[in-house]
Amino acid sequence: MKIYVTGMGIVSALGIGVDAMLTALRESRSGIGTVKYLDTVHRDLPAGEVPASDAELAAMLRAEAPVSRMRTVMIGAIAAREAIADAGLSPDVLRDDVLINGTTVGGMDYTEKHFAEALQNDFEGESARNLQYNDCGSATDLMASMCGPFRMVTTTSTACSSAANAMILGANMIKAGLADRVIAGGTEALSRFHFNGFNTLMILSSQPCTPFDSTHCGINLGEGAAYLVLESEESARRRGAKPLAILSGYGNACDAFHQTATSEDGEGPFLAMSKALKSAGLRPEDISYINTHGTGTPNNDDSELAAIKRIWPGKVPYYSSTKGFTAHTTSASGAIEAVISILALRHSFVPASLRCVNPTDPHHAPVTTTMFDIKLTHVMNNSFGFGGNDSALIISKAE
Amino acid sequence: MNKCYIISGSCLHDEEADVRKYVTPGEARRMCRILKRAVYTSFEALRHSGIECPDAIITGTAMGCMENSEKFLTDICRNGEQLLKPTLFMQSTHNTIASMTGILLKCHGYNMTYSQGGVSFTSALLDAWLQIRAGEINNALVGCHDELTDAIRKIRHAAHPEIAPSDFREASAAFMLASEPLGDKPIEVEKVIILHSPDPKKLESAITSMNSNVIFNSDDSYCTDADAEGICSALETLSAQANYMESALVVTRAGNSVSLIKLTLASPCGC
Repeated sequence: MKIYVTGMGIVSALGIGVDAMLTALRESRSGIGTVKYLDTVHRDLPAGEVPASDAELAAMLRAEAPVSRMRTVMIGAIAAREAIADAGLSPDVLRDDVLINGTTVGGMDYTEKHFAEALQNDFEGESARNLQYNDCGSATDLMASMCGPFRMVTTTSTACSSAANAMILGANMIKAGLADRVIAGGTEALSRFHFNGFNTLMILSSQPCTPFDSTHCGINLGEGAAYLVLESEESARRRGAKPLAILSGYGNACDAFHQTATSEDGEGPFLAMSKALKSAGLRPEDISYINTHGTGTPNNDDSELAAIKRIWPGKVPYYSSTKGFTAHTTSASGAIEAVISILALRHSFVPASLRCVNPTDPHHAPVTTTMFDIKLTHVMNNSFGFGGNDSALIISKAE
Repeated sequence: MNKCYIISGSCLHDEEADVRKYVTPGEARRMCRILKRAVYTSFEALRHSGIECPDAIITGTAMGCMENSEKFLTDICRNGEQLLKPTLFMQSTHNTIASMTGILLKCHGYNMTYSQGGVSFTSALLDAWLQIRAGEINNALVGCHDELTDAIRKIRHAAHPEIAPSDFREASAAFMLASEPLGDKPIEVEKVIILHSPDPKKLESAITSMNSNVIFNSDDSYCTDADAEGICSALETLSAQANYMESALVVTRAGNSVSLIKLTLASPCGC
């Protein structure tokens, strides 16, 4: 059974909406800059913030408290609304549909604003009530209330592969006949919690990130949200919806190596990509472009490339990391990069690994300058999370 | 289409787990409380199933590793954004539980974590159930784990003033699901449904259509993992009264979601 993508929406450091993303990709314009909205002392660390304040986002959504203070929920709702409208759907038909949202700090962005006060009051009274939206599920619930109603709502939380895994559950539900349509993706705003968390691991770069370049020395954290409307071929045909692309394969595997590092030979990434190929019924040589996880840490980039070379021992397909554009949008990255992959397929280009000048492996170099007029058929899209939660999607051109 | 059976399980309520039965004292020392309980129930369920490395490890958790998250946040508030402890952050993400289980078992299979309040476990169960039925996997370790801290007890008390902070419960449960039944009283997971803000009529008709003679109702006021608690009591009752009870429907009301899980006592041959 074919899983069609019939709509998509995106919010990232490159702006709000699919068109903003396409323009920035074509112009090789990075969204990484200095921190403007996040309340942190680490101003020296570059980041990819969505270019709008909480108040501006709330105005766009006409959102009230508490949503107006929940950045993860707001950017999620904006991206999901775009995807739903793009698919030609109105809220009243969503009643039979499913929302699967990938997030990890959903709720934390709000909690940390109220935590100090609650701590002072020993979690009594009003200060405790302010913390009731402290979990991922509540964030998804509030997002659903801004876009739905939906028949079913759930949240995947596998750190940086959350959005990719949301799409995998969505596709499996459609294949099993449990849904005709699933809105799947992820959202993550920057929080002081994970900004500092990544910083304690000493994997944040003080310069704009350079994935796959020999100077690569860490991640820039970003924020964003993206959703795809996944739909059974039959449902799309019935209502005359045209597919933007096809989600033709996917794989989820566990590196089972370390809580925050990837194995040297990239066993988890290798298994995830292999499973995706098998589920799509494709051979490695059918893949025309790999949108890598490519965070810019030596550990990730080297093990990911090792895994790629295990699958493509001869000629490696075009590959790049688009984290130089968007920064690492953590839980949302799988969906953000799925949208980028679909744009690449539809507009026949390969986005560059920005700032990659001296590739770590000159014999298997990434695409360092955006290539236009390149016909792509199948794109592999990698997302790897803490704990070795590795997933790969294959997105194919709609015939 | 394959069938999906619960072939073993382990449920903990508020008690501590002696995880050293399964891991070295060094490994145990490095684990936060929720991890100890999760690893204990997971390994118990695995041992009873006779399966060493499951095809999938799927976990539900409403709040994740709360103790570590709270400590990390407290450190930020008290000490500012300097000299924070990396291990607290590393073991704060929700997927710590399923991925740590994967690391300990060296299982490279499907690994997934859901966090949707009181239907987190049902979400994990739904994933395993549909993949086993589709023949994508033969078995799965499905768990649900949460921990309460003093702060969380107070936060929950603020939302439920009628319940004393000490009366909230925390659950840790793990089950092995497989396409092949095991033992003389096999229990099949026949149906798993999650509904979001269903209107009462729709919910009633969904419950009726499940055609079950016993209904276990649970809600998330005392325990966030209400669906897992519901399954634990349904399984106990089904196994104990297997002679005249054929099926049980676990209905969980949690936040805006309602989950329906239908369990059926199958004949030992699986036919």
